[in-house]
Amino acid sequence: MTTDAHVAAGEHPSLPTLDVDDLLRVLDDGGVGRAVVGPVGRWLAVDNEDGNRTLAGWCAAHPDRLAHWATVNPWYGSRACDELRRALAAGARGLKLAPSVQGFGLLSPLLEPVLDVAEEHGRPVYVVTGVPVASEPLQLTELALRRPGLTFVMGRSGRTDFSLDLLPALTGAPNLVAETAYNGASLIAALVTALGAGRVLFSSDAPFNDVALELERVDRAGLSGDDRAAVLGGAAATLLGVAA
Amino acid sequence: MSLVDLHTHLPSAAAPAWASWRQSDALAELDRFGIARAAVMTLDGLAYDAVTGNDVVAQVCAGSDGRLLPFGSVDPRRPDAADELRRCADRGFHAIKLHPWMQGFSPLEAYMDPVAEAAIERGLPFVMHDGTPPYASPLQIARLAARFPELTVVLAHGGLFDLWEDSVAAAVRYPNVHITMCGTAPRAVFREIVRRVPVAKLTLGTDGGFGDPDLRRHRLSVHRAILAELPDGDAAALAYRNAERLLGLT
Repeated sequence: MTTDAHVAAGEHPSLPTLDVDDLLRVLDDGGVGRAVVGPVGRWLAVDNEDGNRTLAGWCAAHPDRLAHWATVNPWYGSRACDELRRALAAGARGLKLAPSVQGFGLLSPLLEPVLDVAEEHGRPVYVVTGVPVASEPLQLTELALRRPGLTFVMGRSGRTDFSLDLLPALTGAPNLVAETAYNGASLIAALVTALGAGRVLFSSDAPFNDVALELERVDRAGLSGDDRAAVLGGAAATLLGVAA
Repeated sequence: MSLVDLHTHLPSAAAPAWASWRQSDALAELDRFGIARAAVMTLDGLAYDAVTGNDVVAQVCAGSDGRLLPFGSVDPRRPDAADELRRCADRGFHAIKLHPWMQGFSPLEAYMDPVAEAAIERGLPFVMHDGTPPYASPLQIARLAARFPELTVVLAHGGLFDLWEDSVAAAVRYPNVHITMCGTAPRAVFREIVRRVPVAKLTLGTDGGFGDPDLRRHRLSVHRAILAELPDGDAAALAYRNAERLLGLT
């Protein structure tokens, strides 16, 4: 069963998003069995608990199909840490951060307390990268080197301006994981070669992207059977505890 | 529906793809993808020498029966940039591609003036890479368009990804700013651009020849999904009519 390591949900100010039923239909149509939903928009920026609880409800209603990333805005300080502890205890698979939306630089000390919580729980951190000045891929590499006890997912692959940074950044620390969304077949193949398939997660960023087209890019990467299985689910099972 | 691809690049001379580049193969690929005509732009000319790049573009487009549309480039910092633009016009080029970050210039500096004036004089649109700060933001390029209302300016990527709303703002505010939908952004963003910008200002591109060899196939899949959602007249405008009008092909 194919696992999509990041699909989007929430009230976005500029782009349409889906409720859970429509999101499941999109996944069905695209041939994706399971997905890890990440909050966007209002849930990501300010109303973190609202989003985390809503997504947890979606997952409780569809435990065979959905898991979720929780988010907290580090600017909430101890309240952010409390909410992250609550959300992870309630089943969230990891922490999602989006520096350009949440208003911090990746190397800011502001992050340390929430990263401590993620590390205490042994959960990965998904970071949306590619927006200067706050979330460049090599900034995430530096953060990964500083925090060797955490695993970070290079969300959005530094797209667009930092796509050339992607491989140098991902190979710069062993605790960095790639995702496939927004990458072409040849780059997906290069990521698997450089990192090993266990460090590459299939993701679509649906409903913004088209699930079937993002899956087609993985299919066209020419991966071996084992590598393909890892990218399409095995790596997510290990990293996120989502059954393959 | 047959398309005009308003954004493709020739491979760099250092790339294996250039050693094997043949016009017949390029035309066969257009056929395979249902593309009637495609803009041809340099890569090396943006990085090294625009004049040599223009010569190569002219050579590869010659004899294609008008299917490969030569776009030239100039280095705006050079004092002879306007002369090179006129040379492009004289040899039948259809537009001038400018790439602020590859070419190392800002669209806001004074050396742009004679180049813009020559483009107006010869009726060549500027096709400008956009979406990449610090010097290729849509609103910086739009400022150039505002200073030269007779100049046609095409934002070649519609904000590329994060600056798509800036590109929409530019196209809505300035009559002479147009958008080619050719970026990393997901389909949802292109849908929004189509919803917010008058369709007459929109064209399609793939960036074929740049980076991922599969990029053209992928982007065309996204474009065709968007075209399928539009009324026939709007779809035809987006697919080819607007491009033909912009380039003076009709």
